[in-house]
Amino acid sequence: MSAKDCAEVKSEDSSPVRKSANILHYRRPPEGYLAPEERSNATIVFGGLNWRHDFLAKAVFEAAGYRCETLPPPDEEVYELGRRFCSAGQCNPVYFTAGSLLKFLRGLLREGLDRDEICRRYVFFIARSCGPCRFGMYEADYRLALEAAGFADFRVLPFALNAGIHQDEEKGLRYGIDFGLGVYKAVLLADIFRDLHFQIRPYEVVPGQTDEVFHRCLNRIYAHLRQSGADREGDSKTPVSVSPKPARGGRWWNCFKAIHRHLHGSDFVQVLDECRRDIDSITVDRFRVKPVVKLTGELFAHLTEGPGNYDMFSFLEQEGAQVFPDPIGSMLTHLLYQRRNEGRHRSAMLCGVAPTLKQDLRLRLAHWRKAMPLWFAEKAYVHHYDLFRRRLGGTAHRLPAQADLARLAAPFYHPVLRGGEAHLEVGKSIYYTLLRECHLVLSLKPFGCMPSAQSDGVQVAVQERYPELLFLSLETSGDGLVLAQSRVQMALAEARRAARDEVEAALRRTGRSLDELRRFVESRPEYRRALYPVPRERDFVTPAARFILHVSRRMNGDTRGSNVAGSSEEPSERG
Amino acid sequence: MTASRFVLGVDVGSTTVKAVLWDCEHALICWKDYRRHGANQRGRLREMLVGLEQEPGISPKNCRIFLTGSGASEIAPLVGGRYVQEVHAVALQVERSHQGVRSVVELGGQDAKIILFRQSPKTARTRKISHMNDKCAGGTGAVIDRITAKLGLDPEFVRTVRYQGRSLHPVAGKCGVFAETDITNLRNRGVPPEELVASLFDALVLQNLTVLARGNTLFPDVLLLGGPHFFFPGLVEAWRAHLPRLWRERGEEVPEDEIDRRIYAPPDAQYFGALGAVAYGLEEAAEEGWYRGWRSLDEAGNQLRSVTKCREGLPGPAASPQDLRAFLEAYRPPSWEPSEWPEGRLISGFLGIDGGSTSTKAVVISEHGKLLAKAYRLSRGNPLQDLIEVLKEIRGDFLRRQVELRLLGVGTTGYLKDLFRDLLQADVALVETVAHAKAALRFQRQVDVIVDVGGQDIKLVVLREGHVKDFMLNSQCSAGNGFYLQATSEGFGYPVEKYAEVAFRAEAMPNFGYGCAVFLQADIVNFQRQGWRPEEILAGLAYVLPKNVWLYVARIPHLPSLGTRFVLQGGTHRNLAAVKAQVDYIREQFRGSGVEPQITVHPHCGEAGAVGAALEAARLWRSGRESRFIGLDRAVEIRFNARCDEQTRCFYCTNRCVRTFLDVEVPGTEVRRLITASCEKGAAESVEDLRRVKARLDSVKAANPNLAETAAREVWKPQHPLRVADEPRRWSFRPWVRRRSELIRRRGNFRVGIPRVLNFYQYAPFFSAYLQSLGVRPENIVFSDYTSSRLYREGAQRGVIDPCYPAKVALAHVHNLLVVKHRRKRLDCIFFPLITKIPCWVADSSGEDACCTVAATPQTVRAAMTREVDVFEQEGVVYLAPLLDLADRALLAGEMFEAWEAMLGLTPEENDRAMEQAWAAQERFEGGLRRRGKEVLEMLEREGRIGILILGRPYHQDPGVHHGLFDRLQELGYPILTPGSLPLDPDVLERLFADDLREGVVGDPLEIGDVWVNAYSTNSSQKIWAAKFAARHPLLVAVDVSSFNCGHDAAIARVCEAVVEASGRPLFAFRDLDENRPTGTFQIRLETIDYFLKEFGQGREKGLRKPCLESQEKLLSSRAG
Repeated sequence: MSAKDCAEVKSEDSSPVRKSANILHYRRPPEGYLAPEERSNATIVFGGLNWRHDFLAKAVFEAAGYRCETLPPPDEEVYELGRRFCSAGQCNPVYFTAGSLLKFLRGLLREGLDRDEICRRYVFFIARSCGPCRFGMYEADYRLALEAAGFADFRVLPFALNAGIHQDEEKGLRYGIDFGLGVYKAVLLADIFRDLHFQIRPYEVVPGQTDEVFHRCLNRIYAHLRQSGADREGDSKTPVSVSPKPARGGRWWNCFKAIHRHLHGSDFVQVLDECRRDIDSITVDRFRVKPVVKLTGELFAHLTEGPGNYDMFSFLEQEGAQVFPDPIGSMLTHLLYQRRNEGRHRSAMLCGVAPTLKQDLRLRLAHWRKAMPLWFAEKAYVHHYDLFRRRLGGTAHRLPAQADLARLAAPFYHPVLRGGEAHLEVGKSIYYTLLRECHLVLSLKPFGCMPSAQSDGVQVAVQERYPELLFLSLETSGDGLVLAQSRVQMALAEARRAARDEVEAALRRTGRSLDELRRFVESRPEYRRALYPVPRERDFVTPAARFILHVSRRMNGDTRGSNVAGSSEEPSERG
Repeated sequence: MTASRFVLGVDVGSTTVKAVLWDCEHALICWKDYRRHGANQRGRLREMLVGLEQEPGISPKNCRIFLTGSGASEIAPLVGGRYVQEVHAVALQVERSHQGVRSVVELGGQDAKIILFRQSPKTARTRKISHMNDKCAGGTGAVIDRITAKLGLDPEFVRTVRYQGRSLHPVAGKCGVFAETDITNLRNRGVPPEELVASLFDALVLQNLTVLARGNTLFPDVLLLGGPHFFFPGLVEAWRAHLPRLWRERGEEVPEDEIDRRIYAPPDAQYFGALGAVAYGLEEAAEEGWYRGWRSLDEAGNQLRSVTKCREGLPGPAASPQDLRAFLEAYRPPSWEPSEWPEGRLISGFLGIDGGSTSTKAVVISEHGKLLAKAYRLSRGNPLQDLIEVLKEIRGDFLRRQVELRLLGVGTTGYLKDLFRDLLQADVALVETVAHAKAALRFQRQVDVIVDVGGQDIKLVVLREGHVKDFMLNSQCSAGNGFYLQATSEGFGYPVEKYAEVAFRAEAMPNFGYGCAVFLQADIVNFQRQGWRPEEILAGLAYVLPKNVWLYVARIPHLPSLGTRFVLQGGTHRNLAAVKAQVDYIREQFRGSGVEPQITVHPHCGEAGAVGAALEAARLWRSGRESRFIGLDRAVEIRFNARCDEQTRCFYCTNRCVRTFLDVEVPGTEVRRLITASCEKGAAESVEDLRRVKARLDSVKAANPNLAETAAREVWKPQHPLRVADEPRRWSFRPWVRRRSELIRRRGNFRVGIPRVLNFYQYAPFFSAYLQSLGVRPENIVFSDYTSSRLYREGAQRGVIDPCYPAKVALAHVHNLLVVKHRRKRLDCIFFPLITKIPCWVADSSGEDACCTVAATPQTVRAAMTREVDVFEQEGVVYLAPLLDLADRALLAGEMFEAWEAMLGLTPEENDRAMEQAWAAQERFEGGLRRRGKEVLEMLEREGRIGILILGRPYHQDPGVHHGLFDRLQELGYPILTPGSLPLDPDVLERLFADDLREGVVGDPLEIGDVWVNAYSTNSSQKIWAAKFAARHPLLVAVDVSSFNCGHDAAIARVCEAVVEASGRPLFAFRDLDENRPTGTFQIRLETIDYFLKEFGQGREKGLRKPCLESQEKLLSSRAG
């Protein structure tokens, strides 16, 4: 069916009220889909994540032969639009995403395209899910907003998260191995670049240098991703998939080759090396005393960099803090872990009441058969994150092990209980505090986020158990900015004081003055490079304090614990 | 750099500027000052600095400056100072000067902060826990200011009011605006000002304890800081009354005579921020914070102003003088002149009276609906006196013109409508929504939406073909009301009548974010700081009004869906700036749709309600009703005596409400007593009266079954399962067998506490039967008391988060089990499972998830009860919160076994047998309810009556959650059904869903795929299916109930609405059920529903609803067949 036919069918069917025999009844408008022959002509619109992730994902779509555009970054106008056209009482992510989409579509109207043409040429790509929170219902609100704004025939293509690799390719996109690996790589790299960006920027000596370098690096990765999907198949127009009957070798062999090429190929390694060198060229001043703020919370709220979280990233940096962002990877591995954990719970419960040993064994075997691929996928993700992280200098933070997070959270939040971030927020707060990786855990969430509110409810007990944990939960609703910032400043004052105390303690321990240390560092440029690995210190969180101790040791002639960037040693790792 | 001679600490707050000057040479405070800044922070600071430069002579060479407070961060760089976060500053000062203090409560103008100092046994460090109000400014000084101003009380008088020994009345502390409503109502009921102020202090303290403290205990010593504590000793007394009770409960004993010493407001309470800033400055390096002089403050301020306006502002209300002229020509209200008649002429007319919360209005209209006279009076605290005054004004008006007025009928409306009707023997008391609709339709034939913005209330009435289709009222929040514009305008020194004139002068205006009215105040301060002028701020505020009305209160973002013809009414629309804002907003919403909305302002917008009441009186007169009105001459001579005290308290139910007794003497008649009470029983004066009222209610209830109430009662009844427990062995060698036998024997005395909340409203039979079948005695399965405001108040103070009320109240139920039930007779365990999945009867649901808030609540309860001290451990009770999947019977068996094995000594076989009994009991309960539902439907069909289907979740059956709403509907004469009581019998389903099945829209009557695809939440799916049921049953009207903050209901609200409304009936909604019962708005909604349903019933009888009738006939004939 052509796009035109689709549109015609839809226009006939799109009236939400149909007459039944006697009474008029509401009918859900039919979901439009993307016919296979439209794939190379339709433009896929997506967004709503962090701009880095959106940007790199766009490259993957383009590499697969799709036309693609990302949604405009959220702003006040977007929020207003979203609130106007979506259901009342929804949470922010819906308003921002739907608003961005509507702003984009209105932009197309302004450019002179008519509504029919827009509906024919563009489709919106989103994730569909189910679970105890509202996330899975967002799709309905996007459709409602589109309908209310006069784009009733605009097609929404859901990617069913629970279907995993078994998507209905006849009604949407074609998800080949190149596409899958491309997205995989894009998410991994965007996470690592984001972590590094916020790790380096507060210390940059030349204002704006970090932003410039990171934009350059992302462009490099973008070009690589765009290229790597297309050139192998020779046809950049058609979406590619693993051929069911490959010309040479078996299907598995073909997969293996693709995995190796995407994740370990020489051209990819070369691009990463270039990026690392570029980032390492940024000059930093590590003596700046900055408290480290770990951002956690609801996925959208801590990923977005704009009004969706009161511009918290820039506000924190402006207030003199170093931001420690949370990667999407931790959520992805959490989803894998959770599936596995649910299976384990099920198996344990059923085995407990299994009448015979045979049934008991059968249940255990069934669980392991389901759990193994999930375990493998989680391990593979963590492995590749670590691999790329090392390739990019090794100073970016590691992904936490999901089992550790669940174990730490378990006394407070049942690890099998689903919904939003579930036990993640609790687990991360404890994990990063115990690891001495941050002074303050700032949990960002949209106003009225149901699972996150429950998580806050148990955080009080967590704070009693771990008095060293400094935690602030902030609901972002698009209004109340002044008070929100004031609350952050309140918590930050504590964190800043702790950071300053640490630096004073570090100086006392070294017995040297700051000037003395500065002079030493001035004469050695490698200490001012962005990816210079500073070893962890068990009692110190503040990067400046760690650096002071490290430099002092160097001045004493102690060469243990560190090397220059790119070396095989990783002193900045956690044990 | 040398050390400075002075360190200046400045606290720039939301309403005041406080400063202290530290003389470093003599180590003392040599100067301090406290001034209200009247929203001009920079100006006030400038004055202070100019004075300080003269005496004692601070200068950039000898002074460093440190600033704190909500307004300091932007001002600090302008004077060269350093910004110190205010909580940090206060904490520093407390640590310096009051070392024994463990809790600090600082109430500011608009913010409230709590700082707790906790000594960590682990790290030996003092940890500071601080909380600040984030969503609402209820409980702050602003509430006292507003209410004092509203009541017209002298601030000096408020200072002298003591808390101790006063009678206290319930005041909603949750929202400052609603506290105001309660206080106004209490005043109208004759409560003396001292008691009002004491009640307000009480509400503020409770608000801060329940919301701001977030479950923390404010251990002694407690330091009370900030202006309100300094100025109002009564507020400090309120803290002294509440905190010791809390300490006792949480094991902190403080002797009675020490309380005053342990909770106190220091003499310099208002300077703590500024003193903290000095303390911070003294700790800072000598080069930090050098004062740069006040001139930079001025220069930078000007620069900031121009930059901000260009970047962030909006263009002013008038795009051009022509635009403004055109608007004024179109919308300036026509001047109204009373008609002229020859002397001595007899004029016939109808009187309409609107007794509102803030004003009383009266109008006289002619037989043809022409307005003959009107009177308006702002409430002065005594509504009856206000009524008499407006009637005097009307009477005087006609006397002056020397014409005789003959009133043929009298109608009343407004929240005092019933009282006025009884008093004057008026012909009708008309619900406000309908009165406004009638008034609008009198002046404009075709109306789709009436926007009525009054002083306190916002009413939106949606009409279809001249009938009220839907209406919205602000019940949980009053943001967007007109009083706020008036208060702000007066704050700037302009009377409200000048508002529009001033606002239209603005060429640019700040862009306010809409939301809580009190945060708008914070924004005003912020904008003033940025240099916006009063006229610009007034213009900006007028423009935020429609956003607040449509988006924040009514939550209708897409206006074209309501219609195209809008009528603006209510006193606020006398303000042309507000009208222009509304007109611009509505037009903007239609831009690009190709439709031009038609917006008109009612010519008597302030009196529209009274006009509607008079029109209804005229209609009744035309239909032959003889008026029994006592006459104007007698009405203005009414004498009355109002009483509202302990003597008037009602003892007919456990609520023990205080009523108002009005002894009224109409000339020529005996003294009559009118009673104002919150329920019908309260209106009875004697036991005989009560019996009569009760008998009437009982007969109404018998004729109209309420299955929500039935379910809420029967779900807790003991079940009758077979006993499947193993017999204990008398003796065994094996210790584990002996141990198990002992546990089995113990089951008879084993006592389990279960909170009467959430999913237990559906699954209590299952759990009761499970435990009973294992040998636990029915009387040992102890449920907490039913939800009540008292239970919530007593038990929710440990609450940390603010989810929906049904979840929030769970903590209070567990508290009730521990503090009341357990102390009465020991409980062994409290069972509160985390229910993750619930079986769903919808055929095509893609999942069976329970709501995540509901599922996780047991663990937040545990966290709250174990944070400071493990209360369960202390009381020797096990808190059992296992994870349960009710949708998977096999898995559930394993989970129940795991949960109870150790406690009851279970074996898997025994567990399986108990599970069978539990499911059988559950099926019996659900089947019984559905059977009754079928009987009710049959009754409706037999008698041709209308029933109400409540679209809610099982826990909405909790009478404390629905606040008696369902009972009120039942008392109005409608049988009540719930989704859980709808029959699923094939014969019923086939009749209702036959068309859908024939057309192939669904394959099963229990599918919802034709209307909703994301069906993974059980309760949401079931609610949507119930909406489909209501849409297909001709005798059912759906009422959608959901709790404030409910995420799942927010997502499906539009679907339910679409499903029901497509069938030609409105969906009535109560979507903001919360902890406080908004009696007034509930009443208006209920009366409007009743009015609509009566009209609907009449329309059905006349054949106006043909499709419905046809369908009904078909239904009945198929039944007969």
